[in-house]
Parts: sequence; structure tokens; C-alpha cells
Amino acid sequence: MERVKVMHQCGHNTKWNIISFIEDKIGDGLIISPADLEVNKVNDLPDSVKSVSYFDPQYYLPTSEKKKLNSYPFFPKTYLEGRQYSTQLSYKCRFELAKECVQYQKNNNYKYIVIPTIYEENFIDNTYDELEQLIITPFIDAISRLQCNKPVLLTAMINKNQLIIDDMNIQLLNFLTSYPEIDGIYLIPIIQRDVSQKRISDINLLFSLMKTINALKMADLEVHLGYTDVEGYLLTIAGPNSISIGAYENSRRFDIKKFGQKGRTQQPNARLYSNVLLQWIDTDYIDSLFSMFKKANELFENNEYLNLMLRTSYNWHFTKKEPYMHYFTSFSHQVYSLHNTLQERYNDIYKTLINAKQYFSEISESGVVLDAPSSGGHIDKWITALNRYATFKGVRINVQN
Amino acid sequence: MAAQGPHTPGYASPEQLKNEKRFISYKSDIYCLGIVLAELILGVNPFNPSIVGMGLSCNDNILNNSFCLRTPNITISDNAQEIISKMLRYHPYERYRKVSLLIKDLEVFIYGKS
Repeated sequence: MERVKVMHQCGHNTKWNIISFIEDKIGDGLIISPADLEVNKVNDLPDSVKSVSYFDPQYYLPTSEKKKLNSYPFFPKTYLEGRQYSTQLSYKCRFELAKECVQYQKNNNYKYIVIPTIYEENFIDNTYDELEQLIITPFIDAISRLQCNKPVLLTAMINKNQLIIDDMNIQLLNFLTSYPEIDGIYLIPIIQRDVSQKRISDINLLFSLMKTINALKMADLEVHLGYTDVEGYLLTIAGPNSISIGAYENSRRFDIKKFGQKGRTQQPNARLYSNVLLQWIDTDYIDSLFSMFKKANELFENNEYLNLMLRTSYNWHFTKKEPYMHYFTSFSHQVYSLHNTLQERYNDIYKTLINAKQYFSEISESGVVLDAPSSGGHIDKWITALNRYATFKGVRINVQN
Repeated sequence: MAAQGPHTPGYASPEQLKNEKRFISYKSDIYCLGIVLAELILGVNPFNPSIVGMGLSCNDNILNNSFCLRTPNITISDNAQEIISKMLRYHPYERYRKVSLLIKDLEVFIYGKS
């Protein structure tokens, strides 16, 4: 196994990601989001940043009227000037659009050339054919015509049904592995869940996602997981090349609404990431934790941002940067500390999870009752999913007493 | 079962036999090449009921993913079996994704270079 890289999934406040990456030296690069950064600002990024980053063209909603997306001349709505981005367009038109997008990525010297995808609520049999005709073939042809020697990533969104229904999973894997011209997959899990449910706690789903990542790796494809949150830590057991870190929740959980005209309307509570609990804790609990739970100072990585936040004068708010900068640092340290053999990585993750379980239990005994979004309800299921995958791979598992 | 697509009996991939047009590709050729490679060594089709010990025909065994890489007289080395088995994986996504990867494995097997 290789060391897992950590990529900044840029979002609304891309400047935080850039500061974290350049000044704090956190992460391995950026996943640049045109929905959040106008073309001129992206062009101004230093070459040293671009060369280790990649650009997600974000064709998810090709008719989006979002201003920043439309500042890119190759965004379908802008390029097509009112015509529908569909297979009804001539091949020449689809190819020229792809060529413009590829040329832009090549000129900016990004690490990869990314082939975009469109968002589909429901995948039906001919969705794959449409994706191939509309996007993949024109992009592959454009990459070849422009003689790009950069590795190529194909964007793929994967929903719950494609993970847990065998036939659909096989169909997806056959599709993703059918292009010898590509080098990797930019994989975006679309796991719909209630906004109050912060962690993915479905064992079958997590196990299937791990198996899918493994199958892609076995096919000699790089796997770069996008829009991941704390789950990324657990998923490292399947050996992805990179996972992502993001500031606001919509850069840690894919939300198609982000790419429409209107942004998020609901304001979330401020939260602080605990690397020990593998959970984001509602900051309403912070004072109680520090006054009632003796080991509270062990819950959060003590980096420079923690000190700034624990001052009594600090006013928590989800729009403030410190909690996210703290998370970038804390989470990436946690991922970088993982070992690079399957057995050792299993042991690392298992130990973290058992430790989290113990801490949640002690917090509860201290009288602090964490609400569902801050709780440890996911831990037992994560241990089970981890053990199930380890068993599938023939790794020796630990049995909890 | 859907009607079978055009194929050479005994040398077609499962997706060809099932007429899954979406998945008939160069990987179907890799599958066919795996059968030919095994037959060149063994002298008999690896899906042949006479060595598999079950099934009514090679096609039957292809659809059941039942093959054998040895005869009473001939055994294929573990390394070669590994390569051929990967060529003969039932689902296309489990086979070699690029011909260059197959060539690389064959070169390592033949010349010991990586």
C-alpha cells in the first residue's frame, strides 16, 4: 500500500485551503472548484500549487447559471450559448467543448487531466452509454489530439444502489475499467442521509465502498476519493491514493444544490473536530466537556488553532476559519500517521476506533450527554465494517472482549 | 437467458455468450486469448468438460466460470496460472485493464524482468 495523500477539496472559502496548504504545509494539493473560484483567480494560483493539484470541471449541472462556473469558457452553458448539452449535439461540437476544457487543464499544468461527469439522480441502463457519447469519448479524443502526457482521471459519482446492489456494482465497475486511456478515478460517493446524521453508519454500504475501491485498485487504477469527511480515515483501509479534506460541510459531503443557482440556506452549528472521537463535536458542548470531563484536553489535537479557539473571548461560528484550519491539520496528521501495510493499517484504524469507543463511554459517564450528530453511534458499525473488509482481504482481525 | 450474440463456441467470453453488448470489448479478446494460451499448453480447452469434470459443453462451463488449468499429464506453473486466471476472470472488470499490463506480466514471467 502507498501512503494516502490528503487533498484540499476547495469550496466557498478556498483561501483557507490555500493558506493551509501553502503556509501550514498541510495536504498534498488542491482539488480546485470552479463553482467557488472565478477563472481569473484560479489562473493566478502559483504554478507550484497547480502542479500538485487538479481541476474538477464540475459539469454536474451543465445548465447551471452559477456565475463563477459560467466564467469558464468551456462550461457547457457558457460554451453552448443556450443549446442543450446532450448527445443530440454534433460530435464535432462535443469534441470542441472537450478540447477547450482539456486545453485549459493542460495550459495550467495541473497534475492530472480530469474528465468530468454529469449528475444523474437515477442511473438507468443507457446512462453509461450517454456518458460515454456525451463526455468520455470526446474528452479521450481531445486528450489524444492535444497530445497530453498528463495522467487522466475519470470523474465518477457512485450512489447507494450502485454500491449495494451486486448487478449495479458490477455494471459500474465494468464501465469504469473499460477505458485503457485513463489512469484513475476521481470517485465521489453520493450517500444521501438526513442532514442531522453526520456520519455514514451503514455497515453494508461502507463495506461495499471499500470493496469497490479495492476492485478499482486491483484494476491498476488510481482512486482519488472526493467529498469525503471523517469516513475517509476508515476508507484508507481499502488503499485509495487520496482522500479529501474540506471546510464547510458541502465540501465534505457532495450536495448537488451547491452547483445550482442558490447556495446553502441552512446555517449549521459550529463544530470542532476530535481526532480521538472521529467526530465533529457541536461547540455548544465545549465548555461542558472542559469543565466536566477530566480528559477533555485529550480529545482535540493541540495545534496552533486550538489555542486560538479555547480563549474565553472566542465566539464560535460556522463561518470562522479556525475550526476548519484545526481540522485540516489534525485530520491530515492522523491520516499521515497510518502505516502502509494492510495488516498494520488495519491495526492502526482498529486501535483508533476502540479508543474512540472508550472515550465516548467515559464522556457519557462524566455526565456530558452528546446529541446524535456529535455522538459515537457510528463507532461500533465502523469497527464491524473494518473487520468485515479485513476478513474479506484475509487480514488477521482483532476481537473485542 | 437472452439470445447469444455471434461467437465462436468454446472461445467466447461470458459477456458474449450473454450478449451483454455494453461489455463486449477488447477485454473479451483478452478472455479468448486466455483460453487459447491455456489450450496451447494443455492441448485441450480449459473449459472442456473432459478436464473440468462437469458441464455439458465448453460454453456451459464458461457461463459457470468453471475451468481447469491442468490435465492428468500437464500442469501449468503457479505464475503462469496466475496470468491465465486473470485473463479468464468472469467479469471484465477483473481482467487485465490494459493490454500493456498483460504484456508486462508475460515479460516478467518469461524474462524475469519487471
